Formats: sequence, C-alpha cells, structure tokens
Amino acid sequence: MSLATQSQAVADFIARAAGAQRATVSVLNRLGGGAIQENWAIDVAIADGPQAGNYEAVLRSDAVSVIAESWPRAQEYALIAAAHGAGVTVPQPLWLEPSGSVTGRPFYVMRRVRGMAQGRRLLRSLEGEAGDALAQRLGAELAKLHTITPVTAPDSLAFLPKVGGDLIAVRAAHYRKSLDALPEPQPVLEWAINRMEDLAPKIDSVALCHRDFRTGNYMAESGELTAILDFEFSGWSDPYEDLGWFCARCWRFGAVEREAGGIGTREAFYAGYESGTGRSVDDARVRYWEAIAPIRWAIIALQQGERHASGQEPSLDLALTGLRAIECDYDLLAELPKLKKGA
Amino acid sequence: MLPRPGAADLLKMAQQALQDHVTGKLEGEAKYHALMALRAIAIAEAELKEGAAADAAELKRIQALYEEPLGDLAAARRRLASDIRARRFEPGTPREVRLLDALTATTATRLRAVNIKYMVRRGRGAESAV
Repeated sequence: MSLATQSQAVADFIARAAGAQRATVSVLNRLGGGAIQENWAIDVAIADGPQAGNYEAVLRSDAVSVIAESWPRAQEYALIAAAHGAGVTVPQPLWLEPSGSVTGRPFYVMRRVRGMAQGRRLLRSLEGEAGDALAQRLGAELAKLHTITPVTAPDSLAFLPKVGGDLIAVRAAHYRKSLDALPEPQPVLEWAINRMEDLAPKIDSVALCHRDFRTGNYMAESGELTAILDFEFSGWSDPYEDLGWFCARCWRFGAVEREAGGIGTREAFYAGYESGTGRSVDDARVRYWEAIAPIRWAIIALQQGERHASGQEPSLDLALTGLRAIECDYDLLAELPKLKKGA
Repeated sequence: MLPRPGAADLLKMAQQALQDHVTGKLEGEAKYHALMALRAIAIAEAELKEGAAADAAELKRIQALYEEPLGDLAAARRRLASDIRARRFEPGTPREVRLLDALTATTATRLRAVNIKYMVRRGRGAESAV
C-alpha cells in the first residue's frame, strides 16, 4: 500500500500527536535522494489545538529493507531533535510515529526545506566565491553539532553506544564483523583496516558526529545552506571524523581540486569550523580520517549492493552502488601508503 | 548456446539502440534510469569480454604470494583475506609490497571495467603508488 492511500491514517495520527481534533494530509510526491529511506512531500493542515496551522512537511519512513549501520526512524528523530536544540540548521522535527502501526512502517514528519541536495547539480549551481562561503558555513555548523558531548547530551540520546579512547579498535572490530556478514572476501579492505589501526591517533575526546557529513546530505538554495540532512548514521566519535569525511575524495563528486566537499577550499571549511570551536584544526588528524573514509563507504556500498543481490530489494541503482566499492579500494591503495603515523 | 549474434553483440546493439533512440528523448528520472541501464550494459560487456582472463590473472597473482596450492579463485580470495586479517603480511616488508602489487593490479583491472573515468580523474594514483 503506498502512502497516497494511507493519508487519512497519517492525518489521524498527526491530529492525535498535535493534540487536535482534526488534521488533513495531502500527499504531493515521493522525493528523490533517499537510497535507504523513503521521503514523501506532504502538506499538513491542523484545524485546531496548540499546533493549529498549515505545515509544508516531509514524511520520512523506513525503506523496505535497511542496512545494518542505519538508525531506525525513532533514533534518527532524536538525533535531529538534539541537533536542532544545539542550533544546527536542520529541518524542524515535528512528530514521530515509532511503532509502525499507522502505515506499517515507523516514520516521522519534519518541516520541508527549500533547496537542492543532489551533489553534482549543487556543484554546478555554485558561482564565484559561493562555494567557499558555503564550505565555511558548513564548517561552522559542524562546530555547533560537536558541542553535543556525552556530558551535555539530552537523555534522548542515551541509546548511542559509548566510545572513548578505544574508538578505532571498536571501529575496526565493527568493520571486520560487517565484512564477515558479506558473501565475498574483501582483501583490500582487510589490509586497509589493519592500516587504520596501525596509524590511529590518540582519541582524547568524542562528540556527537553526523557520520555522513558530505555534499549530497545538505540542502542549499542560491548557494545558501538551508538544512543539514540524514542523521541516520550519527553517533559518538572523534569530531575529526566528520571533517575528514567531508573532505574525502570520494565525496567531491568529481571536483577533486575543491577539497572541501567538491564545493570549496579546505581553508574556508577549516576557517568556518575554527570560528565555531575557537581552536585550530589539526590538519594531520583530518587527513587520517580522510584517508580511511573509503573503508566505511566501501562497506556501506557493499551492503547496499547486497540488498539487491540477496533478492531482498531488486534494484539496478543498489546493484551499481555495490560496485562503487571498487573505487574505494582504489583510493585506499593510492592514499593509505602515503599516510604516516602521528596524526 | 546461441548462434551468431552472440551475447556480446546483442549487448552492444542494445546499448546502441538506447543511445541512438531513447536517452536523448528522456528527461529527469526516466533519463537517470536509462543512463543507469546503459552503464550496466557497458559493465556487463566488459565482464563478458575480459572477466574470465581477469579471474585467471587474479588467481595467478594470489597464488604467486604462496608456496602451497590454494585451489580455485574463491578459495584463494578467502585465504588471502584471512591471512591479511591475521597480519601475515607485515607492513614495510617485501611480502607486503608484493601483496600491494597484487591487490593494486586486481583493483585496477576491476575499476577499468566498471568506471574508467574514475581512473582518469585519479591519474592512475593507486598504480603509481606501488
């Protein structure tokens, strides 16, 4: 059953959640860009009660099949709400339906935001200095997110697994377990995980990290940031993981010379982050996370490919995503030998 | 199984038909799906043409890292991955250099089949790194 035929059930749920007698929902269209989730543009009208009014919104639900690393919608909602509370530019979270009893799958509703996210189109739309300004803004946004620490976090984030100085060891064990769950051995990734351990920096503090902070996961309009999206992988980590992920070559959408997300200079991005934290960015530490970024992307890509290959969710898009792990292997073999201990 | 035209020829013609008569007329999501299909055809063509030879070469490269016979390619890949995890290729040793040569050659062969443009942008980075 598609969402279009379930709009009454969604409207009844929203009315209850908003303390209203009556709400109506118009389903506009399914939005692109959700490889793991389904996103629908909806218009909500709440007739009465404390939240009465019209809302341009997005309903985000679990996809038919999910990958192991991705948080379910209830946890993702808590993460967006925490980021919203810390002043990060995210879509305002509105209502959560965690049980799956309304439409058959858990979902939440958030404000719809203008702009576009698609990487290559976004890159083409940036003119002159707009890319550097956007990179700087994104650096500053990341600094706001990283103010959330295990000490300052709201109770709603208690579900996040605790990590500390053992972060890299935990990550290596997790990656190896993920590889064991895949049908084919991955010699390049096995080698890269060893190097990740051998070259690991000392992790002295962790913060709430987006963990998929890259071009494609934020929206912008006329070069201005409108929202940071997709908190489905977020968790406690070394804040430098987010900076390295953003700069990783695999997320520059072909514009490899623009090292910050394919949109701007590394300097502009670092400057934005430094303006928020008041501390200098440790470039070597960014480059450590940047060099190992393809390990994680390769595992996610292989898991995506397996969603197709297993027959769980036949899709050419997923099948081709699985093959992108080869690009990651190539990047790891090119970059990791250059990396030195001591980042 | 089939007389001429064979699978490779059929794929080539399907690709040509899509390029000449379909993709130019499409926009938006439909065009995206057609381009994905074209890409899949190109990859399947490369696999048909070079897959068997590439597999044989990969097995030979892995086997060259060992003194005892490893069996078929699937067994050799499993053994290699398991030995890497067990750290039987110590960093900074000739054995690791030979391992990286083998991994790089296999990865480059695969990437040429799947996305040669990525290698062009990369300037053959991995191959020149070892």
